[in-house]
Amino acid sequence: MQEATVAVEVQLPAQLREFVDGQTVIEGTGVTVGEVLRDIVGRYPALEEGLGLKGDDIPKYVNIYLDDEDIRYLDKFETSVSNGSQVVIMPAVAGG
Amino acid sequence: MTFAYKIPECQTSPSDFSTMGGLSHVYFAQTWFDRMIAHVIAGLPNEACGLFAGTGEQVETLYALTNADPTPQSYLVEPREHFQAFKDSREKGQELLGCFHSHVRSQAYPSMTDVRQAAYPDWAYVIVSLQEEVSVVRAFRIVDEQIREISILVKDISVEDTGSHVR
Ligand SMILES: [Zn+2]
Repeated sequence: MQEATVAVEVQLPAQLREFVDGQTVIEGTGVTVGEVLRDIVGRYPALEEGLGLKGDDIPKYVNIYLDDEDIRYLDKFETSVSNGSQVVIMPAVAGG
Repeated sequence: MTFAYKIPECQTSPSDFSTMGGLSHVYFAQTWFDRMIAHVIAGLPNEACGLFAGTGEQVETLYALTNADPTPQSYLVEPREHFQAFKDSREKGQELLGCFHSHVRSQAYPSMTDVRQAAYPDWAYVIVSLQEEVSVVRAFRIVDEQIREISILVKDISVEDTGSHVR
């Protein structure tokens, strides 16, 4: 079965809004979480550094949730999205 | 069980906040404060951490959470629990106001790592130092790598004890 490209809402943390013209929720399209994020980063390249998205790994200090679940516990960036899915990005709470 | 602690007088004058906005105090019910101290002591020899939520400057829910990077000099609020706390607080009409963590062998002051990792400029960053027998608790805002201490007030009021179920 061919997976369909869908539009998904991505909720960004306050400190990344400057990279996306002040928006709090931004729509991206794709089949997977990774594709949706690449779509958004394609339009707002500054966001890539803000998110720390470089390689294929999820940055340790960024949490990405699809419909309330941390995508590290799903298929990471390969996790499929569906119509109405919601992606939420939150910086991790960490320190030493 | 409760543990002894002290809260040194805040060294920041309110005018230091003129350019920062946001929280300049944080109020805890005694119950939550005691639970926070108990949680970080239970986490020894590693650092321990959690989040708190409320409205305005009043902490109404404390989330004692798992340290997903448990060493004596690091903490990472377990990401799933972080999200559950975020959701739970929203469902209660509250918002996350800040986080707490312990310092096992250093003062109650943000470390360089704390400053670098501080991603929530509006939050109160509460640090509990366990290096001495009596815990020392202080709170800070960390904005653009600048540190400002804020006052902690502990009030002996009853709270609806619902915070810990997230764990
Ligand atoms: Zn620290």
